[in-house]
Amino acid sequence: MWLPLIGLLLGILIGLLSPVEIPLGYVKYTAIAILAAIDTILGGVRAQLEARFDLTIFLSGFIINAAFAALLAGLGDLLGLDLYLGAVIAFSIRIFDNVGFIRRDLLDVYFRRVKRARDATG
Amino acid sequence: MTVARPVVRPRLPWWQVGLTVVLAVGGYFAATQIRNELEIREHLRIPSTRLNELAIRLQKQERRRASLEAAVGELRHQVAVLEREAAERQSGVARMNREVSELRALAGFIPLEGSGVVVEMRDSPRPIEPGDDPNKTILHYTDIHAVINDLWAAGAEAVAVNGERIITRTGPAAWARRSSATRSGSRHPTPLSPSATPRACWRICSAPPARPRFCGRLASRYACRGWSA
Repeated sequence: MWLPLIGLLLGILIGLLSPVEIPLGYVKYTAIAILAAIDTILGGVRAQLEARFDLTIFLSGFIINAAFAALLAGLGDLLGLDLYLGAVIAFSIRIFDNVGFIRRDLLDVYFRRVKRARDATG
Repeated sequence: MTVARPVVRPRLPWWQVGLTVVLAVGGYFAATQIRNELEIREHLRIPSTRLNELAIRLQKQERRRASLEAAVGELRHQVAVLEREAAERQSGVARMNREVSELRALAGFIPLEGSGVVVEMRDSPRPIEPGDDPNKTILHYTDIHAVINDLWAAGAEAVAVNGERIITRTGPAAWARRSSATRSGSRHPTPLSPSATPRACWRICSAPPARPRFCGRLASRYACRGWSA
């Protein structure tokens, strides 16, 4: 599990040290991209815990979700509506759902290990 | 006999690779976003969620400033017009004041003194021969009148005859009495004291450019005193 942590640290370092600045008008899109990334990461972890991880679905989900959310935000800007809030709400619900499933999966794994240990000792 | 087993390197799980990529991208965006947010809070002292409100306020202020600048330009134009009108009015008033001053001087309302030209006129000292017309040897008011007209035409600002100011309304009788020249032109019956000698004095305060021209003409026709070329 060290590789994802290295990737995370590398991304943070590049973001902090690079001179690239995002224009103020695009801050909203960056925030949605971050939400999409969190949603994708949690979804990938959940899929891995449930032994149904697919790299293609994982990466395409990240890209398509982020692009669609950005498109929604841009459309909202054109229409004068806060349509990006819809993306934010959807991503938030998915994030909480994934967190809940991950919690259950981890607890399930934990209880299974405890039970297996009890069976081995008993 | 031992069978050599092929070395199997542990394969990197794909899910870790994908997670790494997404985490790197997400970390990059998150770090950039945090940096931007901190800069916004540091410089603008508001969160980025209030940027729209700030932009609207800024646009309103810019529109207001533009309208105020337009108003300032209009007011400056009006001030320039008023200043020009005031200057024209002042120049007009100054011109009118000059004209009034000249007219007041001509009307005798302004006392004038200064250097000028004194013209002395007297009866001819030639004795009258028998048969001569005595009118040709004595000073008539018409002679004085002609000299006064010459002085006015030469640009004199003020004229006096024996100390009597001649103005536009002065009739010949007034200075004729003072100068002892009679309307009929007859010789004065009594000898005159020097102060009362029939003398016509014109004190001229004309402008310097007009003086030489006038004095040149005057000197050629009359005995001039008080002026030196």
